[in-house]
Amino acid sequence: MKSRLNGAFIWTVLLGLFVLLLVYVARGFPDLLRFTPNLAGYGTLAMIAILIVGNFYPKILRWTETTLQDLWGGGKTDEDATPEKVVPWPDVIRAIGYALGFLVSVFLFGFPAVTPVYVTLYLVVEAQVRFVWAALVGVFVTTLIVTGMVVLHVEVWAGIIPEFIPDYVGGSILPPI
Amino acid sequence: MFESMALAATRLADPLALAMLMTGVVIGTTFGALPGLGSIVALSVVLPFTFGMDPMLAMFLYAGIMSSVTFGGSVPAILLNTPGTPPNAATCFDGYPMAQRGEGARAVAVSATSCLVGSVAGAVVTILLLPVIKPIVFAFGPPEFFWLVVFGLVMIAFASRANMVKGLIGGGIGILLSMVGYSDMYDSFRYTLGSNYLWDGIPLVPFVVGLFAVSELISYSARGGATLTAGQTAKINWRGQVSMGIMDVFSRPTQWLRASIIGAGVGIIPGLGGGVAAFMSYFVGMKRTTEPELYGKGSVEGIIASETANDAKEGGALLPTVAFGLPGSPDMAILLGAFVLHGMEPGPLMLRDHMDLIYALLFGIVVSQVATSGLGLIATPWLARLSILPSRWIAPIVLVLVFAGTYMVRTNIFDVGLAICAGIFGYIMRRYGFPLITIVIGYILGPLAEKSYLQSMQISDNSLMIFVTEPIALVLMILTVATIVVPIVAAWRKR
Repeated sequence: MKSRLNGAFIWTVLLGLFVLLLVYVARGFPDLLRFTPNLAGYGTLAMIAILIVGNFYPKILRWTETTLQDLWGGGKTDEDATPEKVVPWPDVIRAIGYALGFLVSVFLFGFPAVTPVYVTLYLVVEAQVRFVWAALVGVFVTTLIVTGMVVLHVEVWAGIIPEFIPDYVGGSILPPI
Repeated sequence: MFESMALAATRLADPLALAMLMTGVVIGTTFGALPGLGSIVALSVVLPFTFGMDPMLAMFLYAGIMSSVTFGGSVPAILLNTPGTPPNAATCFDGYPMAQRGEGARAVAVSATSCLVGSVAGAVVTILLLPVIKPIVFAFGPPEFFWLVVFGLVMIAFASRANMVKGLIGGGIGILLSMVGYSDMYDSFRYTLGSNYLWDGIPLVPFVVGLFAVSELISYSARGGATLTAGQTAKINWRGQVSMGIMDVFSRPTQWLRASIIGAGVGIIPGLGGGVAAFMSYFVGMKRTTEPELYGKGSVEGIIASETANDAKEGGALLPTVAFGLPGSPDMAILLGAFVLHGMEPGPLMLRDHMDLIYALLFGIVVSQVATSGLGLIATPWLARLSILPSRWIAPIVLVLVFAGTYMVRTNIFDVGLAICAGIFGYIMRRYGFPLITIVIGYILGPLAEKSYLQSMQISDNSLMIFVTEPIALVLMILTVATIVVPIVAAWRKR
């Protein structure tokens, strides 16, 4: 038995725990409404168990590696355009950090204020674009978004800070959560 | 039928409709030409922007994207040996050798013409089969639909790349996530955690957009660099050869007809994407040709086989999508989401009430393919140069547009948060080899399966025998079991 405690294994275990939690919570549903969560939940748990055991005994996973695509002479499915190049986690976390940073900033200050700053900052810091060009792109993208919202009569999200520039920065009301 | 066709055709003459088609063509070709961003990401990005739009116009936009992505993907496949989308991989075999010997423009012209021929053939097959399939769909009751949905789920999970267990896990998680929210049939809440936000379930748009577009953008910006160098694109010769390429296709009716039939046929089978259509057509073409030795060395027939089948698949894939709500290919799963977003339920009701939209989609695919092929030939040099743009130039712009689009659907800022969460989840799933498309399929088909199950149980007074006593249901059950057993037996025999 060869132990292979890698990221894929840990993620599979976490998925297993998540599904287990969903199956456990489903015990409180009315009888007929429990059927689908139970069927999908236990089925998924069985597959996760196979994957976990297969991590230590890869032989049992071999029969799962042939798909209809292989049998019928196909390539990959549409979603994986190129073989996924494994990117180091620090780079991934940085990319996620930018996305989360954008979310938090927009939440506080709104789309019109944050978008030009975010796009400019990203292009200058990450893509080494000259500031003037980056700022122009930032302003263009912001104009596109705000114009789109105004044309489609969508309320522009201006952030939850106290109103600073009416309708553009601050003063938005949080929807119920 | 003719009334719906006429209505769709009339709307197509509307300048706004044509503008939508052209927008779709530009978006689709661009996303196709950028390796890594295929039709699924393109459709996911525009999905939120179509909310509140006239459904017919939205259909034209989708049609423009769906018909143009594969041609866009064939350009870098031919000129740079880098398929823009996976189904274009087969095009590399002969397209790139042609480009290397200075016939790149001819190969692109062959691809553009083949795409056009394939699109028309796929649309014709669907138009011919729609009246035939209509009575069949109406003969389906809840038990038949239940098995059909289960069959679709299993089929799609098995069609997933490399590991069917991971595909099935993705499908299961998708079904479980679709259970979140209020169930009106039994006046009960499931998995809402006491949150008002989750009363209506996990909202479709931020979930799908996050899963595909945001996860791809995380990967895209983390990877950095550019797909290709300027030096690679500088080698391309753009002059001449176009008319020769067009004639190459029209002088080989057997090849494109065969490829069209294979493409449309593969498209009808749920879950099988353009990759299967292109490769199957390519290999059949290689077996049937009188010059098999030219395949892989720059054969015009090779490009015709793969690209025609690639586009013919779109029309075929539309058939199970609209008739049964089963996506004929992975990108059709996103289209299925778009139907739901516009208040349409694929299946008998859609065939009864929204035939005009189905025809709009089909006509849109054909018309936008004409535009794609025509304009594509002119724009090819610039399209190929998109591949040298560093990914970190593109990522922030697309990310901001995606988030703004997601917000605009329900003007709920929490949807943007959900899109990011779905994106992170999607990225990790993708990184560890779990196919994302099965999650979406499970998410969309899960509630349909449950509804059919509950209705069957009500009809049969809670007897499970209803699922095996109806003849069509029994056939579908056998098909489902066979779908699981055949690959396993084949794999076992192979070893």
